[in-house]
Amino acid sequence: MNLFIEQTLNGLQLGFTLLMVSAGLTLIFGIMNIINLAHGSLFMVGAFVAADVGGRTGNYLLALLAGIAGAAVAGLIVELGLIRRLYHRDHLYQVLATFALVLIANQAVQMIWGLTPRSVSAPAFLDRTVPVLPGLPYPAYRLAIIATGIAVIVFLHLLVERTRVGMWIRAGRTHRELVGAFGVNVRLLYTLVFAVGAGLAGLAGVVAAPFLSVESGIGDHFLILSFVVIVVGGIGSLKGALYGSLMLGLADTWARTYLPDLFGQFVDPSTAATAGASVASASIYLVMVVVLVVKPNGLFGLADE
Amino acid sequence: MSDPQTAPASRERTGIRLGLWARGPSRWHIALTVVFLALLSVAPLWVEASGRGYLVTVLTRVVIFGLAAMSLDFVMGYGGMVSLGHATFLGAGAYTAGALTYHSLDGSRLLGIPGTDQALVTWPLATVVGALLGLVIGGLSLRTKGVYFIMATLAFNQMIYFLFNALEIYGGDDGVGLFAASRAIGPLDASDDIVFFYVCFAVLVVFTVILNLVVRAPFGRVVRGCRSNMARMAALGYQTYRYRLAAFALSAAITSLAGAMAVTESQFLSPSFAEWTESGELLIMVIVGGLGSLIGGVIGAGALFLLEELSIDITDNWQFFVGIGLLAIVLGAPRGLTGTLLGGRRSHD
Repeated sequence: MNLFIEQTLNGLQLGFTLLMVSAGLTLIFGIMNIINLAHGSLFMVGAFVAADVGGRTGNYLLALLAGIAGAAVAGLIVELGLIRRLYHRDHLYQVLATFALVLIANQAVQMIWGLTPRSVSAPAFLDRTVPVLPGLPYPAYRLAIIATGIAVIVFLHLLVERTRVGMWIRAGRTHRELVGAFGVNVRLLYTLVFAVGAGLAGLAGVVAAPFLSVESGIGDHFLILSFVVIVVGGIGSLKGALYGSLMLGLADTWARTYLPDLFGQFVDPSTAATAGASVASASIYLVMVVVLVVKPNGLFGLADE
Repeated sequence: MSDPQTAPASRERTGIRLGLWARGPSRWHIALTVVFLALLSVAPLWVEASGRGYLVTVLTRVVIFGLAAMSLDFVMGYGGMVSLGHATFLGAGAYTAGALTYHSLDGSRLLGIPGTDQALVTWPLATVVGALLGLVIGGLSLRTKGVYFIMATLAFNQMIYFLFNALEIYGGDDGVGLFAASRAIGPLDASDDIVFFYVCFAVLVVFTVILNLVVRAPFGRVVRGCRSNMARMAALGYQTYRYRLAAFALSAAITSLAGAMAVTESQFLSPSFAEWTESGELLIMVIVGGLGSLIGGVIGAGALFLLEELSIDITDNWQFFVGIGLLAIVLGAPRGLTGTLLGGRRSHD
């Protein structure tokens, strides 16, 4: 039972990290109708800037803020310099242009920070365990990630549903021209949403960095996972991003924990470990397959236009 | 650029800007195809004569990856399906041929079948595996459209990539060398690089002819119709899903064949064939060469490998410059090299 609770928390931690990446991506897609492959690069920028600042100052909070700011600024530059020109282009060209950014970014971080992988350590004040249940200690850092994820989704929910900017965002999803006609600076709004999404990707990069080795291309896997989240949850929907992220985080973690044991009941342990691991790594995609078969537009997708 | 009768109804944002040869291959197009293939056919002799024989393997890779890019152009430029997952099939072909070769060297069996390094067995088998996988992945992904399709194909790509990574028997993420394998193609020993080039070149020519015939055939016309206006094709009574799926599976089969050829060429099997960036690079080849032209895929592969070969001595960061160049093309010359080469009216979205 303790193992189950522990793994469920691990799954939630992965899910909320994914949420930070995919919420921005889905907002950007929902309002601007643009597919951005470079979102994973913003994750990478966050991780690298945090590793750099953290390495220099030894101050985690400073590293965190720098990572978020670095990704948000990179996002601003990308939006103003490139994405802006792509709003009215075909998705194919958006894919190509943002793929070009991925190539450039992956190479640029190597040119700036070298080939040696870097590491970010969890902050000292969270580098301990707390008992979530009597007799079940759990790393405080992972709990902090879950809390951060909850804060992010509450913030985004309030931003989108309760503020004037959020009203524009919601209106912009369906009536882009009309919002502009009412005097809203749509370009500025897009830039703002893009920068917020970029900052969130950077945040995800910073908080996930202690589990990863910070090297060129680390954001790519998270980018693709976010695409799976969006296919599962539905494009443009924060609710979809939330449920999609948590479903995938849990599916992945549970499958990794239990499948090797389950397979071990039928075949010898080493085969079971290998087979279990490969099926587990495919588990999130199997979730996607089921959703594609049952609801091709995603669980909470906006109505198909 | 587009057919005026269908253009007004074609408001779907996910529809692809019509390629240069939207109405099917023109005379200029065929001339360009023949000229380029003729140049490619003498290229190995020329580099050999000029004392740069090491470039023959680069030319072979141009042919192999050009074949994959051409088949991607078939679904993308003619079928309007933007697949960001064609490395899936490259990997599937590579692993089919590579696994058979591995077991023939090892003397072990693969699911009870003895291995072989005979290309006349491994290549066709890889093609069949690619077609079947294309039916499954295409069948699921085509339930969606537009940007969802792009994301779904990319996601399946990543799934297959991780599966290959988990195959510890073939070296996991490091891959495995198959250097002891022969390059037997029927009775022919193609271990000589020039001989192997011409084998691959012959395959490329065959599929260039086949795909050019397919896009002009009634089947190809329906597939192209689905790109311009799916609703209209459905209203005309065509089962658009089936036509698109068949086109996707055909493309997957050819890409998988290219994957098998690539592993015979490199004699090294690794998951990098199926890496998602490989899907992106195939896409680059198509766009650089010119969308909707078939031969453009090969031209694009040539341009990309040439750039790599030229810049690798100068800088380790050649991908950085590929990225810059790609941005320039997307923003400045969206019709690719062939489109710019042949000129013509600039199209608008």
